[in-house]
Amino acid sequence: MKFIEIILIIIVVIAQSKCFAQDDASVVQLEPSHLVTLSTGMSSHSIRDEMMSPLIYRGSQIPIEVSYRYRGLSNRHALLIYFDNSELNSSITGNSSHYIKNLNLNFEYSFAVKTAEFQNLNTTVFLGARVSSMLNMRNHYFIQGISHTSAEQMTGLGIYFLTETAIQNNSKNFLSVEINIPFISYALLTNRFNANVSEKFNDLDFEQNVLWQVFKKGDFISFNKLFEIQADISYKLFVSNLIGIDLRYRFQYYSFKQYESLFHSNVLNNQFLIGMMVIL
Amino acid sequence: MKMIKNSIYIFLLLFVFYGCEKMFLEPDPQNSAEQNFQIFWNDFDRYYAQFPIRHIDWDSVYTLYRLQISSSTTEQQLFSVVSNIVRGINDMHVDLYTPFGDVFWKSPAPGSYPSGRLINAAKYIQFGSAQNSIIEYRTCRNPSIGYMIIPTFSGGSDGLTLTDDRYLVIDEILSKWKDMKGIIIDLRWNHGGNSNNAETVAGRFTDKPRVYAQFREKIGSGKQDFSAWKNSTIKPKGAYQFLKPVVILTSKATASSAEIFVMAMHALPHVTIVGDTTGGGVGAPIYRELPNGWTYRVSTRYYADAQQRIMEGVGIFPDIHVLTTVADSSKGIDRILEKGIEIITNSK
Repeated sequence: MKFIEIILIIIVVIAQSKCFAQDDASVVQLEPSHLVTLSTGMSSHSIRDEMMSPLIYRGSQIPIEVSYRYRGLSNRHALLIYFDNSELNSSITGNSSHYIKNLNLNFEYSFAVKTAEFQNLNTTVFLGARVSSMLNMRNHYFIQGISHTSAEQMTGLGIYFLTETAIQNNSKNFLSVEINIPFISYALLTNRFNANVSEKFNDLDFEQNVLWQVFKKGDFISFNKLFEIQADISYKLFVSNLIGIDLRYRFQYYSFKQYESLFHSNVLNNQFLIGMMVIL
Repeated sequence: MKMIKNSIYIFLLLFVFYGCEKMFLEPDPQNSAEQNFQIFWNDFDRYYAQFPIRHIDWDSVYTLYRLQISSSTTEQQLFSVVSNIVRGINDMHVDLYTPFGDVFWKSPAPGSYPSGRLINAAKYIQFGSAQNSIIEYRTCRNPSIGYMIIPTFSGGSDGLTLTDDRYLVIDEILSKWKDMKGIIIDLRWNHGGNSNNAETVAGRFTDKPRVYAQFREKIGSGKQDFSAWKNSTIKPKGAYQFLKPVVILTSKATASSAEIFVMAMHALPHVTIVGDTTGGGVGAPIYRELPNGWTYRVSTRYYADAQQRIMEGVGIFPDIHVLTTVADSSKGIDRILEKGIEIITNSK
């Protein structure tokens, strides 16, 4: 929590100093601009990892997201880091026999260029690409405190689509919709048959750096193994020239085929985020 | 105003979207006796590796027991059926956890089994030496013989942590014991844990890599989907390796990862295994669960020693078979430990 406090203080200090430096409070120049946003809220996860259990596990948690966005005259850049760590339980068995500690880490970089503008709708359309790296690691705790680990780690390149709609003419507040569908990914921890067995793990030397060994054993996959979609809908509301509020709903779903397509990891994440934006 | 309305509609749509889990995830399987039995049977059919070596015809098990399950079968009746199956497999790593009770294998160790414990410690061991919570170490009455107890190999298999650093105390112990004539390692009540920890300790006793065991694992859904034999290798670890005489004390209660340790040490020329045959099960089990909340373990491998003598359900035979009888115990004699001390004392 100290980390969040430090970031909040930094953002507030920067914003305050900018406020005092601003001469004309009525002018907000959003293009070009740099936006830093610290968000939190609620994340909700529903996961079925068929390799581990036939049941759906659900849980929610307070996430943390930090993003930097550059709004150019004709392009958009966004860098985002997301983290949450939740406990998931089955709705029919509770947590008495099996529960999951679920770690989510997302890193994204998106780039898009203006491709169309619909002035009658106050809407601008951008098209580009997103590089995203995602870790969903699940420690399955069973009776006697024994745990098995299951995870997906994918770094993908996807098609990125963004629209921005101003709420009113010349308004600084706008609604944006983002959709990303990765079409090629480098996936680790593939082709697992059960918690112990994967041809990828056979020759791991636990005395050496296991992460590096696992990284080298990844596979390039596409829609045949992984279908993933991320969709964001956000509303950016500026309360002053330098500070705004970002209301965001993010939907993420992926279906990842394990072991010759015998099992699926189906992961559904819904995030409701509220963030404080600062124009730098 | 129109835009604001549209925005509200979009956010309302989101909440509908949020509620549509069923669009993306099929609902949980039905919690019925028939469905639970089917999942249980399927899990073993898919994952259990030891049917061939235990000579169990799993299809016959289905034929026999499925008839006892119907839509009116109660949880108690299902427990009776499933627990009978688990007992029939009688694998150390196949057990069942339910609200009606837990079901385990039948250990080969008899009820009164003095071979599985240290007897009259004060007669053989000097107290007051240094200890560690994971590995207890002392010297014998003959101070040139080190005696260490490793009561478990558990710990360290959580998430990305694959070994437990507490076992690295072995380096500290061996650096103190460099001048010892020999070391006795007592595993007689070690039920196992994490095999990486066993290899961590065993690596401090070998001067070069050696294959100590082989295993096959179930790698597919078909009944014959097994991997080829794979080698388990012990490698030198730590700054110093102890290459003088070592005696490992074993019993029928020495099991699972402790048997990994015994097999690894058995591959070394300066190590002698003394005591009773070990429990007989490594298995590499996984946990599974049923929609009614019952959990159970399934062995996914079977192990053999370096000569491909299968040890699952059989155990590892000691080099010198010694038992501490009930009569010995009542007289305060630990035959197994005495034999270990004798071997080190007489070694050149």
